[in-house]
Amino acid sequence: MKNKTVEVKNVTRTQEMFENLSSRSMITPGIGLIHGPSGFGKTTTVTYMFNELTVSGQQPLYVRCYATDTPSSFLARVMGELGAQPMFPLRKMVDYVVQAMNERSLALFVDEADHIVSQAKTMETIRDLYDSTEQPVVLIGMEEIARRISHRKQLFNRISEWVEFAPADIEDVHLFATDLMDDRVQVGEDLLDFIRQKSGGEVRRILIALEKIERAALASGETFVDLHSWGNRPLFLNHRR
Amino acid sequence: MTKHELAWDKMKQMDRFTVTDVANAVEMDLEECRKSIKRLEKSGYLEIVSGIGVAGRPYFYRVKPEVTTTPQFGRGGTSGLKKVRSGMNGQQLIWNALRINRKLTVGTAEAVTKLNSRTIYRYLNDLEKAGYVKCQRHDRVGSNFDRTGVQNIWKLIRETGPKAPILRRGKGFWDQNEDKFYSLDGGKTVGGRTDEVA
Repeated sequence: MKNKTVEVKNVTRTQEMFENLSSRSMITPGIGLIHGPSGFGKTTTVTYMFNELTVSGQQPLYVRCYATDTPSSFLARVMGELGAQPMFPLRKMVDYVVQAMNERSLALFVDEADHIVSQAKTMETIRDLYDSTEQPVVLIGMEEIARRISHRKQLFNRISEWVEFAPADIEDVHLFATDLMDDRVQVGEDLLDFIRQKSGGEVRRILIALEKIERAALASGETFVDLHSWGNRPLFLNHRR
Repeated sequence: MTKHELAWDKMKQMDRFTVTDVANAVEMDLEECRKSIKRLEKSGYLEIVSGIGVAGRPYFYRVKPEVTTTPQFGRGGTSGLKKVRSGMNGQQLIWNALRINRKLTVGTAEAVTKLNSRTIYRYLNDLEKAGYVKCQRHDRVGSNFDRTGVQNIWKLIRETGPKAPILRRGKGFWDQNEDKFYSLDGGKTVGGRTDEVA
């Protein structure tokens, strides 16, 4: 299998989301939300996009949240990203971060935002940072975050772009197969659809299945594998979820 | 047009030339001109046709007949500089991937950085020697991961900040976040910026 990021729909939508946030008009709010269950390629996509931004000279600030976070610890992490020590009282840190984000046009990525979504003060701090800088802020979390954030009207209203990581469809699975598998191996549409169904559209499971097929085909010299020729050989550890 | 570019134009017009010829022709500082010519020779644009490089018998240069491209002047004008920059950038991409994923395989890193797997493996291996990451090895030899199907996993255990530790080959890492130098023998700290190992 080749190691590369395949630009399936979830990836292109995430890239579009950030482009839209960066090039939005003055009247459009600039908070983005990336959410979805684990295993759908969220982290890989975020890393890929983060690196693309780094290469273009716009490395954003990246903060990972923890369940024990408070406004103080959250701001201290952002300060760490800026290479600065925490300051007290908290407003000094807010001022410092706002100034740095404005001066250097820095976007802010907040990963594992589920942990702080129920903490009014931390969420309000993020909203303050956004309101004072108008730099793109991207919140990243699991599937439940969208529902939970909808209760925070002030913040929810500022989310102009969102990407819900959806299960891979047949086009995506096809793209994974053509982009990642050895050129000597072709996989039939019926087997690809079988993989999509049994994996529940989870990228990790799809890749495991494709790798199994590729290895088996290369070992046996097969150039085309479909559902019939694959037979009942196992593809996944467990078919039921 | 800079003096270096003017000098290059002059060199192309002359069949053979010494450093002094070019420096006088474009009114350039002699030592500056010597550096420029040496750099062009090193980059493969010029060749020595005669002389031994001593007073009275200076080197005579000429532009290599097969040269059709124009050298790049200014920042990034030498291959050496370019190499260092792209390497630094690559290390930053691997470091970003480590920070976001916390656990990383060479395969994942390759997918999100577009770097060569060997480059990634070397950087991760050196990070491990300096105590930044811990490797969960599934194989004896790092390079056979593709055959076994199970990849080594590197786990970030010392996250110092957003800037990638700069590898000083054979010595250790300069940590830009902490202003500390971590040696490759288990990450022994050598000290702050002033105690840095040269």
